Amino acid sequence: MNISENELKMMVLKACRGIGLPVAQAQEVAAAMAASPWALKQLLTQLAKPILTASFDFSIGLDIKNAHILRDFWACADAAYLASPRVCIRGVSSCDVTEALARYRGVSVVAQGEDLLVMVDERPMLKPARCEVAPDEWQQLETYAALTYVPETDASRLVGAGAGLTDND
Amino acid sequence: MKDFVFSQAKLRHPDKIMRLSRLGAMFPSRLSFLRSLTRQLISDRSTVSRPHWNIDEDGFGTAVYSVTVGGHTYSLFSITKSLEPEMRTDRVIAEAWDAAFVLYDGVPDASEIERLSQNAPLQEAGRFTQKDLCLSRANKSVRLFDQIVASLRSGTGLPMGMIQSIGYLMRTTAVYGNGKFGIADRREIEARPGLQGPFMAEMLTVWLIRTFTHDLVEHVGGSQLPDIVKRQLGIGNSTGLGMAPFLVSHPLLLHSWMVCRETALARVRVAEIDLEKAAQLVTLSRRVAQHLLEWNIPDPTHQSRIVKLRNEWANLTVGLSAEVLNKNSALDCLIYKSELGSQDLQELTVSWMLEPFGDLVDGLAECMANPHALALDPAMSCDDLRKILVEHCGYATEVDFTSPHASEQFWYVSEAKLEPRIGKRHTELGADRESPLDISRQIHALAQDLQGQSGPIWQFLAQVPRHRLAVQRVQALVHNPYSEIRDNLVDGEMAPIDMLRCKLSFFGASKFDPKSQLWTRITLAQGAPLASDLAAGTARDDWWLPVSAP
Repeated sequence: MNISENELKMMVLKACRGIGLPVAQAQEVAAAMAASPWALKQLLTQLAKPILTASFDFSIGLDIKNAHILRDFWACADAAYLASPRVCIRGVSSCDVTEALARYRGVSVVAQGEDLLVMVDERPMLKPARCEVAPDEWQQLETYAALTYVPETDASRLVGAGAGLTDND
Repeated sequence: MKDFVFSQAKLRHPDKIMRLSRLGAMFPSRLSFLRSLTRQLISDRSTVSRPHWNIDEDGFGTAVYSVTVGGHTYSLFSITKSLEPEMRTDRVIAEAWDAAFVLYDGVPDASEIERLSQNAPLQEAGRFTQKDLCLSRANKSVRLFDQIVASLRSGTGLPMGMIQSIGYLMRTTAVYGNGKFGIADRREIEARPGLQGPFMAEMLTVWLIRTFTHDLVEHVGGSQLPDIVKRQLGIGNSTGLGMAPFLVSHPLLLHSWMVCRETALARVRVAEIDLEKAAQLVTLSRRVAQHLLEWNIPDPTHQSRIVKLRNEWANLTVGLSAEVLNKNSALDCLIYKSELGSQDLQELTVSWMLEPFGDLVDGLAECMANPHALALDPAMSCDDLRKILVEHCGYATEVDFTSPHASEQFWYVSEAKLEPRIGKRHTELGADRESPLDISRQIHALAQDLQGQSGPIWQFLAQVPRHRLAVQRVQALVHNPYSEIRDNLVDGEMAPIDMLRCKLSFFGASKFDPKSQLWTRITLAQGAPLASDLAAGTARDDWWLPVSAP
C-alpha cells in the first residue's frame, strides 16, 4: 500500500494511544515512524509489549529499569540532550525502532551488553515522506488503533454528530 | 529594501480573546483564507480554463477546470451523479453525494480522469495518489438549483429572494487535504507560491467548485446567469464535529492565526486614517447593516443574537461620518465603545475595522502558517513551570473538576465512521477511550501532581509520563499565548459550535446557520470574484460580508 506521510503518522499515533501510551509520547513515536517507515515492522513488536511500571535512578544521569521503549525513550532523549553523564535503558536491545526514535530526536543509541546507552548525536534528521506499507502490517496497526474507537449506539448515532439524516432543501 | 516598522497598540489579552464564547462570535475578515486566495488569484492574473466538459443535459458527467497559481497549474476534477432524495444527507455517514471533486496537481489526462471518475465518488472508501491534493463532495440545494434551472429554461425572472437567502447551489460536506485517503501531504505543496498559507489548496478547491456549480446550472438551464447573480452564489458548507478538534490539536497554528488577527487590530487601532479610508469605513458600516438584515436563520437562539446585533450595530455607528472617523484615536474609541456591547458586536467591529487597511493587514497573512510542532523544554525547573501555570493557566487550574458537571462531556472517535463525536461521560459508554481534547483537565491534573516537586521537569516527566503533553502545552503558552482555547472543553455547558465558528471564520465563512450545538451550515465565497472577473481583469478584493446589491 502506498501511504501518505500523514496517514502513517495518524495511524501510528492512534495505535500507540490504543496500547495506552500517553498522547505526547504517541505523537513523537508517530513523527519518528513517518520519517523512518522501515522501522514499522519492529514497531509492531514494541506495541505488543506490556507496559510495566518503570523505576528510575537519577544519581548519575538516568538509569531506567522496566522501560517501555515507546513510552520512556523520550525521557532518555531529554536527559541525553541535557548532557547527562550517562543515560542507560536496562534490558533493552538496539533495533530499528530505537534507531528511528533516536534519529528523530537527534540522539544515538549504542548497545552495551544487554542495555542501551543514549547519547547526543549530530546526525541530520530524516525527512518524512510517502512510503509503501505491507497490508498485513497496516492491518495490525489498525487493530491497535481501533482500541481508541467507541462503538456506535443508536442513541450516539443520533446525537453524537451533526447534520440531518436527510438534507433535501 | 526598506524595512517597515508598524506602530501598534497593545494586543488584546488572550484571557479575554481565547474564550469559547468569543471564538464563537468571530466574523470573517480580510485575513480569512479565502480572501487571501482571491487576492493571490488577482495578483497572479490567474485565469480559469475548462479543458474537459462531458456533462449530459441533466447535469451528470465529468468536468475539469484548470487554473495557474504561483506558476503551478492545478485542476478541479468534478463528477456529478443522480442521487435519490433519501440518500441526500450532509452527515459523514453518507455514502453518496450529488457531486464529488478532486483538486489535481497539473491537468489530468484521459487515464487520470478515468481513475478519478472511479475513486472520487467513493470519497473515504476510495484511494488516491500524490497527484490528488484535495478531496471533496457536495450536495445540491435542490430547491434553488431546480428553481434557477426552471427560470433559465422558461426565461422568467430568477428567484432572487431565494438566491440571496440560500446563497449557494451546492454545499460541500467535507473538504479533505493533507494526506487523507492517500492524497498528497501538505508538505508536498506548502512551499509553493500561493499555497503556503493555511488551507490554501482547500480554498482553491472550494472556489473552483463554486465556478463549476455556476456552469452546471447554466448548462442544465440552457442559458446564462448574469454575472451579478453568479457573484451572489457562493458555495455552501455543512460542517459538524469533524472540524472541531483541529483547533485543539494544532495549538501553535491556532496561535499564529489569532496573533495575526490581534496584531492587525493593534496596528489599525493606532493607524492614521485619511478621509478615503474613513469614507470606506462608513460605506462598509452600511454594508454591515444590510448584511445583518439579510442574515436570517431558523434557530431562535442564534437569530436573537443577530437581531440584537443589528440594534447594537445601529447604535455603534449612529452619526458615523468620514469626518468623525478622520480624527486621532477615532478607531480606538470605537473599539472601546463596542466593548460595551455583546461579543458579537466586538468581533464584528474588529473585522470591519481591518477592512480598509490592507496596507497594514495583508502582509500578516504570510505569517499564518506555522510548521512547528510542540516541543518540550526539558531543562525547565518545576518551580518555573509552576509560575507559568499561575500566570497563564487560571482557566484550567481554577476549575473544580470534582464537580461532575466540569467533566460531563467527553470527545471520542466513532468506530463506525472514524469521526470525532461527543458524549455524556456519566450516562454513555466510551469515556475510557476518550480523545485527549480535555486540555484544561490535563493541565489541572498536572498542576495538582506538580505540587511539592522540584528539579528539572524532565525528571518529573520521566516518572509521570502522562503529563508530557500538558507540560509541552503550558510551556508553549509563554511565547504562544493564543495557542490554547482558555476554556474547559469537557464542561457540561461547552458548545462545539463555538469552535466551528472560529475555524470557519478564518476560512472566510459568513451567514453562519447553526442547526444545533454540533453542526452548522455556512456560505463561502458569496460575493467573491468570478473566474470571468479574473479573465476580464475586473476582479476586486472587496467582498467582505455578502449583501444582495453591493
